[in-house]
Amino acid sequence: MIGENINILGNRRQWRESPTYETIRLFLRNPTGLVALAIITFFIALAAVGPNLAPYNPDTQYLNNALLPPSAAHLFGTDIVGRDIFSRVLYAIRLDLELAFLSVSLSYVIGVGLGIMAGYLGKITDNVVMRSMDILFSFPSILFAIALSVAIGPSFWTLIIAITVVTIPTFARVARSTVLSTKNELYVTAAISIGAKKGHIMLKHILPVSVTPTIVLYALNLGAAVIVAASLSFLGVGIRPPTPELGAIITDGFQYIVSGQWWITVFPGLFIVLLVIGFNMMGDAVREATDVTLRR
Amino acid sequence: MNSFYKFLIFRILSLIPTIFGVIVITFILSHVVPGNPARILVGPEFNQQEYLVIERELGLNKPLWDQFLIYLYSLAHFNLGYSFVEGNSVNTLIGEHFPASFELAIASLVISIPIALVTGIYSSLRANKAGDHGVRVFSLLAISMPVFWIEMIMIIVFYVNLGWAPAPDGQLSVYLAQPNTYTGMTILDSLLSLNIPDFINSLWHIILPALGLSLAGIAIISRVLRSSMLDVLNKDYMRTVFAIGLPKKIIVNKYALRNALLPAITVGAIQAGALMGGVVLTESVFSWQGMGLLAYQAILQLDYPTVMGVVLISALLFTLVNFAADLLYAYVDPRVRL
Amino acid sequence: MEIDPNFEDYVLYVEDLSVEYTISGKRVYALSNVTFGVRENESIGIVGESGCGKSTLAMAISHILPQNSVVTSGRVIFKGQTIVDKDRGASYSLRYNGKERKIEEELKVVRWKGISIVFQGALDSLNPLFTVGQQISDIFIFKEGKTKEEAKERVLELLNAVGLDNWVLDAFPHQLSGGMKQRVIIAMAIALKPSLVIADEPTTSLDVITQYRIIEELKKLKDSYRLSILSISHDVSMVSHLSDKLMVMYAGRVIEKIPSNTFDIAQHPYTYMLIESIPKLSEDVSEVLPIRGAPPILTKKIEGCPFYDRCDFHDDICLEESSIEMRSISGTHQVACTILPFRTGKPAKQVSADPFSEELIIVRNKPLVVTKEITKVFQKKTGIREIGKKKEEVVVAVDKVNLIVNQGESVALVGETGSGKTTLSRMLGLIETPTDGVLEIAGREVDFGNRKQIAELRKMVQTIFQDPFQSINPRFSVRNILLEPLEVNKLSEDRNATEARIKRAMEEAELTPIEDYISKFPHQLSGGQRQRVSIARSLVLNPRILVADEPISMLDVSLRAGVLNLLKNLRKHNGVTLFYITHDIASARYISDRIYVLYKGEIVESGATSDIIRYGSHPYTIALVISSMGIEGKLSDTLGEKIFEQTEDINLPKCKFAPRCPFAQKVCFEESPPYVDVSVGHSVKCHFGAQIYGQIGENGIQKSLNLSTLRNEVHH
Repeated sequence: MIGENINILGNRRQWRESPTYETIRLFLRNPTGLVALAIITFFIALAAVGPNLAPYNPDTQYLNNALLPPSAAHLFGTDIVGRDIFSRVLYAIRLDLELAFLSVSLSYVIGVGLGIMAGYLGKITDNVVMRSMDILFSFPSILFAIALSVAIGPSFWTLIIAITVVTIPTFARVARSTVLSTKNELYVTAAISIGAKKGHIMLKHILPVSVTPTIVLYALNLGAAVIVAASLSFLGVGIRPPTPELGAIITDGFQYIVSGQWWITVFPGLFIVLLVIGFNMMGDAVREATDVTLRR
Repeated sequence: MNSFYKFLIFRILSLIPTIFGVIVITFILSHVVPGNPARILVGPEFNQQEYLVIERELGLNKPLWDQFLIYLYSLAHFNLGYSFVEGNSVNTLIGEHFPASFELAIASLVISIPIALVTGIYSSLRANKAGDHGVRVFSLLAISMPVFWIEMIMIIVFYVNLGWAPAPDGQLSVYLAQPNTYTGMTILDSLLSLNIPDFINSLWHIILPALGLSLAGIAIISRVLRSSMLDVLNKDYMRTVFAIGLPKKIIVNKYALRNALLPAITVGAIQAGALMGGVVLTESVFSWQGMGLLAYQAILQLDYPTVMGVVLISALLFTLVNFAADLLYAYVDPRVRL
Repeated sequence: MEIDPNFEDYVLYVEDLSVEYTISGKRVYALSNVTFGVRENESIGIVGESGCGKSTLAMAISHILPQNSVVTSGRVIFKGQTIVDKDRGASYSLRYNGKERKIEEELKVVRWKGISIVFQGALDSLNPLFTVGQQISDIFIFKEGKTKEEAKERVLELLNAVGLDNWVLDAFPHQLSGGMKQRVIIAMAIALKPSLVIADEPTTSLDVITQYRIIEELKKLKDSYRLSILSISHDVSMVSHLSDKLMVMYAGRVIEKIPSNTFDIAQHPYTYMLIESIPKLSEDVSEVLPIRGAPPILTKKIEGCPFYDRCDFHDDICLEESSIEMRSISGTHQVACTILPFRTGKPAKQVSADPFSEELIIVRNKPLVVTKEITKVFQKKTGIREIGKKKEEVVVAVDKVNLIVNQGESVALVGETGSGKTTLSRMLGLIETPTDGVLEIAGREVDFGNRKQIAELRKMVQTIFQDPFQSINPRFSVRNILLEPLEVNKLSEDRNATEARIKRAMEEAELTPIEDYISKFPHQLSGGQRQRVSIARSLVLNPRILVADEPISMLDVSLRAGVLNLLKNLRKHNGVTLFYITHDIASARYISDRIYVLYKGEIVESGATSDIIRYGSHPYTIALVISSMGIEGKLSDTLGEKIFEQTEDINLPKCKFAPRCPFAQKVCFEESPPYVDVSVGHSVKCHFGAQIYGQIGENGIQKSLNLSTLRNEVHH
């Protein structure tokens, strides 16, 4: 904005006074936010360098090393064909993060876009979009993902599409409701009365408001996506073996839980739990921070 | 109550487009999307002639519009098609497996609703005290775990190591004879046929799966209830009842809870969808002979119509659950009735 | 500190009470050393602005403060029993340990049986999910062990006692109007015949006439139940009408106690300046002055007099700790000030003999804004939801309104909620599109479909909105708020011109020094400052017409006069044409040349300000003027009970006011009343306008209103 450069009126950017700065400050002062940040950073780092740390090739089978319990050589033990669980987990984390970020980002863009359109244009657009969302919402998400995977055949991209489609309605609903409430804000009416056009109102007044609640949802949906991906692998409609995916590794161990080889299941699961906790705490912390700044 | 009936009629009418949409989507998934069932049926050794025969048998060579009408027609006659694997009708399969799933879902609700209510209220009344923190940590954990994983962990701990739970082998231990079938629900059937060993055994079997299935729901509803209770307790109308000095039980359980339940109803309805997904996973883990296991096995065998049948039925059920939740909401809150 | 030795005389005695809150780690000193007593059947009124601690006081006495509060000194004694002190606290807890249980046990006879509280009814003080009957009967069931049937009977008695019909019993709160909810809350408060009723803003956000009614109701109940009343409000006139004695609070302290119900004898500079800042109908004051600055924020302990910064009379001695002690000046009149009360001669009020002569601005007969039969109809949404309702419901918000406003004129549109004044203002401000009729601005007919023309006109017509907390985007800095109008109208290319425009707008809106404000965000500004930002934003475009929609009603009382004067000056110096929309006829008089009175979408009376206020001839105008003046007991005596009735918007008779009108005849229901010119430029939409005008005579409404002669006149 030009205003930032007006000399006589001072060109100091008042970033530190802005509500956004305050929100970030509150977020960083909240232990929940810091822990979440630490967990997510840890996982992103693992995804980036993890495969280099892996002591074994994740797919190589060492049949005479089958079903070894955790030891110094195999931190998390080995599975029935002798693959090193630790190495597989390291590879899987990259895959799961890719899956989660790709699919949820995709559905963020589509869902928020649809929601804003529906809320702002109203009338027929609103009806068509939201009715379709209602219908998508009528499918229990895992079952819909199953149907989709069965229909297109399981693959990495099928999984992405499945997760994207089932999360779109959540974004659309939240985005639409923020648009609807913002649309009736007095400051939007005021903008209209000074002659602002629709595009300006959308960009300057409405979009910024829908960012925070959808970001909270983004974090929560990342967690949900990791769980859905793992669940679909378990049901055999997700990532195909032998590609290492956390849910798929757990599934590899499923038939051995009764016979005592718990490590195949337990370790990858713990990583899922930690990762999802990170995302959920992130969502909570962002919400808390924005709640406080907006309450004023 | 007049306004409530009006709302009821409105809501029933609005069910129609939703159900129609659900049917259209299942149709698209089963008839339009590329992963062609005929190709799956033919199997890996692709044979053009065989393919055409099967295509004709399934009616896949007809125009899409005709296929849709046929689909609608058979649905109108409650015909979900025939299983590729066993050749028997999907209706029968679902009919056989539904009661077990229903039993599991009910058991899960019986466990989760009271626990969620109690922990949610407890947590809100002791906000930011130790007890509240405990509940919140539990909730965070519970919503962050894949259902099937925590259930496997439960099996490892309670069956393999402690021996408290029975083997994950379905509703009843294999060495016991099935009770007479009245409802298809083992617990109920064994009770009706006065088969006490079966009754005890089946109760024992349902505990772990029901618990595993409930965890996430308990956590989510308890979280929502906690925050909505905290909201409600700060409302002006609560100040009035505090000042009146009504008994605290009445204040919490009547005045505050009723208001706080509203968001919990909404979230609970959404959670019902997750519960249905959870049923599929849980049944697969515990070999529970329900619709979920049916779907799981059908997926592994590429039994297309069965999977789609289960998906369609679950979607319709879920729609009904949402409908019921809306009615409940309107019943509790006179403002939405109009 | 004053200590009254025999507080057994008192129903309630508050002694040296201090309360602190902890809000996100910060201390807030909400109440400091408050001392006062309430005797039997006595009504004490407390006046204070938002954040002065008055609600904290009400809740502390009722023992329902939130958990984050601490009583740091003093106690509250109710009929000789200590109910609040350091040890007991004043908070309410749903937790139930031994101590809490003991405190609640002690309070059992005090809660509601001894002290009850009336909250502001427009807020959700009633639980939305239970019927009125359920909520009131629970009081009888759980506090007195009555059965459901007995309780129901008692509830009906109560509802009738506050003038509500039986059907209210089964109604949910959202089905009731604001005034009815307020009466339900009052009914609840007197359910157990308490000795003391605390009324916290009991009339705020109700219509003027309804406010009047609620005050009458409370007074009646005070006599019939021998209640003591402690009423708390920011509304000076409401409090003085209801009370026998007055107290003024500022920054968590009581700074003045007045032993009568008039603020005329106020001695504390704050009270004095506050009263002076309010435009009144009953006095002819040509100029009101605001109090500068804003009330202090209570996160710091204030040394010395808390009003020091804003006071016109301050001295070094005011900063000493002893300056805040209460001093008696005459009898029981006490003031926490060392200077003003002991100075000889208070500054003289600026009174002019005829307030209307002085400020006369010559307005040429050059119409700038003209409306012809302008109408706005809102269609209630007819979706599937309305199945079963055959008729589509429409609300006629503005019904064929004709106005002619000349260039440079200042006119007020006065009406209560639902009068259509805001909708009319939005059409004038080019925000809402009329359903029918014509709007002409500067001689050109406005074509609402023509975007280009609208865009041009919007530069000329600017609106100032009611709520400064919502009319500016909290994410924008003041700089960006003021730049926005220029940017969207593509006027910001030339940087120097842009700077100059912003600078001038800020100066005109008195946002000076500019550096102090330009980089601030709304949350760093007070309500008054925000409203100035909002005004500056509308001035950036150099408008010729300003539409101000209730610009002061959301502001603290002490800041209102500032905004009023600002608008007045804008009009005087810049020659803008001003539309002032309000429910408060007194402020309309202060700022406008002419007044249009609106009722249910129609103009019922219009004329020069002085004519409307002195010789208002529509029964509705008369009711408005009388309730705003607060003349003792006059409204229901003169205009009867019917005037208070709420009427549904559907199936109104030809004269929409007839169902409430004390003079209504058959003709009023059957024939639409014509506009009658009663004097030059003064017209009334009433069949009997001329007769009523004749009866009001020389002395105006205030002095010569006599219902029976009026009625006789009308009936002939």
